[in-house]
Amino acid sequence: MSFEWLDFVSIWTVKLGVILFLAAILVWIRTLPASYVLRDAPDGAWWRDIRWWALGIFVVLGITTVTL
Amino acid sequence: MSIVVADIGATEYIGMSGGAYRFGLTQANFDWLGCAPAMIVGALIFIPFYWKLGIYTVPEYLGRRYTEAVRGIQAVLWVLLLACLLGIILWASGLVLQTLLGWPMMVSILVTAVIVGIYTVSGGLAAVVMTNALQFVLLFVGATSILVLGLVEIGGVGALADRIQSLGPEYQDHLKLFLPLSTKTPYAWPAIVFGMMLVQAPAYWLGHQAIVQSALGSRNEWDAKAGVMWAAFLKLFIPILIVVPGLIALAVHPGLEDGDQSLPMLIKTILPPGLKGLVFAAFFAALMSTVACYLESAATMFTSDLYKRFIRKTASDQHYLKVGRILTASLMIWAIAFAPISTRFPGIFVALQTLMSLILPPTFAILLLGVLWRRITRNAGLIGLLAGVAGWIVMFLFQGILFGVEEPFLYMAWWAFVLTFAVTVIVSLLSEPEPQRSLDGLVFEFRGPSGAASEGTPR
Repeated sequence: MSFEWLDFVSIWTVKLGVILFLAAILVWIRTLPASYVLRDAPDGAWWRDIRWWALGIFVVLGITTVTL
Repeated sequence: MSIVVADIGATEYIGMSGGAYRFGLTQANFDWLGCAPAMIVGALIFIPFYWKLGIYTVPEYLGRRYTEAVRGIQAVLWVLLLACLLGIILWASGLVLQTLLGWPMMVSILVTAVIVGIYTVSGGLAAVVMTNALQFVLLFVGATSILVLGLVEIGGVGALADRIQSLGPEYQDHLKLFLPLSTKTPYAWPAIVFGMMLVQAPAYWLGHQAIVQSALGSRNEWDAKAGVMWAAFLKLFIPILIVVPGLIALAVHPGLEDGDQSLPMLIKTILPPGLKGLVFAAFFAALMSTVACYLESAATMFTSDLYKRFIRKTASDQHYLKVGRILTASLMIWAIAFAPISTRFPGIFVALQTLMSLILPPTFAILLLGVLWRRITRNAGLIGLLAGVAGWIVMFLFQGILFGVEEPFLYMAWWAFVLTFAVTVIVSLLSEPEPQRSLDGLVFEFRGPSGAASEGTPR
């Protein structure tokens, strides 16, 4: 029984770690200049900034990590 | 799309669903946590770097950053790896024929080998490559049909979960993404986080030739970055198409002798007659085209990177063509003999990953250090690579003593990476630094917004 409790804590710690890891990558991506990630910078449409794509992918991944 | 096509072949469909059948939903981690972070970092650092450097292959970069010996060792390792992978793919083809047509395994393997051998030698590869996209679409249609029809037969996702849970206590963790240390599968959470997420998957996505080449085939740098990002997005949905069918197979056909039979079995039992034939043909054609591509890659790599450079530097094209054909035939015979080795592993996915863990993690370590740190010296990369490969061989031979789990390929990947990384750093710090100008352009330097003008320009 105590091992099950330990497994529960370790797995949720891992999930939290994964979320923090993904968040750290997102924070790093936000530091990139727009010209590096945006097509036809600086007046391109927002969807041409691939940082938004990364955000969308990580949100889906984060939800999956927490729920499954 | 071409990046996903390069990654997802029939072997992956069979191997991933077989993995899900045996080990459960945790198999999806290879597509979710393995791909997305690695591909996004790759899209923003490695792809622009390769692009600006004007290189097309990872061994080419390693040869320039380190020494030509590193490139030569890479070629030897890749030819050996491809030779072994050929055997595993032949085994997968045999499994499809055995399950769907009832043929004996060795007959199925021999039939595949003879057909592929004939059309590879007669130059049919170009036609096969042209039909790759069509095969992908058919496999996609087949996988979607299996998913939908399978879920309808079972009664939905909730019923699927109930049926798996009712199979017994050993299936209680089958629908969890992270497994505890006590799991009997190779996928305990430290293996997934350290071995797969931090090493094996980034090594695959940043160092695998087929993947890198697909990304670098774009029109301009932004398209290359965006292409990798888009592939990462598509990969989020792949587990639904290939991992969930493995779970459906478990619910519908529990107790299969070999988990890799799960997808062929679903094709046989769930799909309607017309679609069954079409998907079977697509699977078999895709498997054969993978064999043909691997044969072609191994022959090209051997002739151009090894034979031409180290054995016979000047000879006619006819001579090199003949050498390539002899190698192709030899590899095919070797692959037939190697195919039954697949039974030593619990499934073809584990076999593929174990073999790839020999090359990818040490390569990734020297690639990462070479790209990001000027202090790394040329000879250190060579010594680090050799140490990593030697370390992997020792771990493979003594895995029963060194690791307390079965099939510890993800732990081996992690430690091979750590060993290569440590040896490369230590040797570099003990050596004289390289003249800084000799490394210009070979080390990543992020210089801020100066790339604006180059974003839309072709290389």
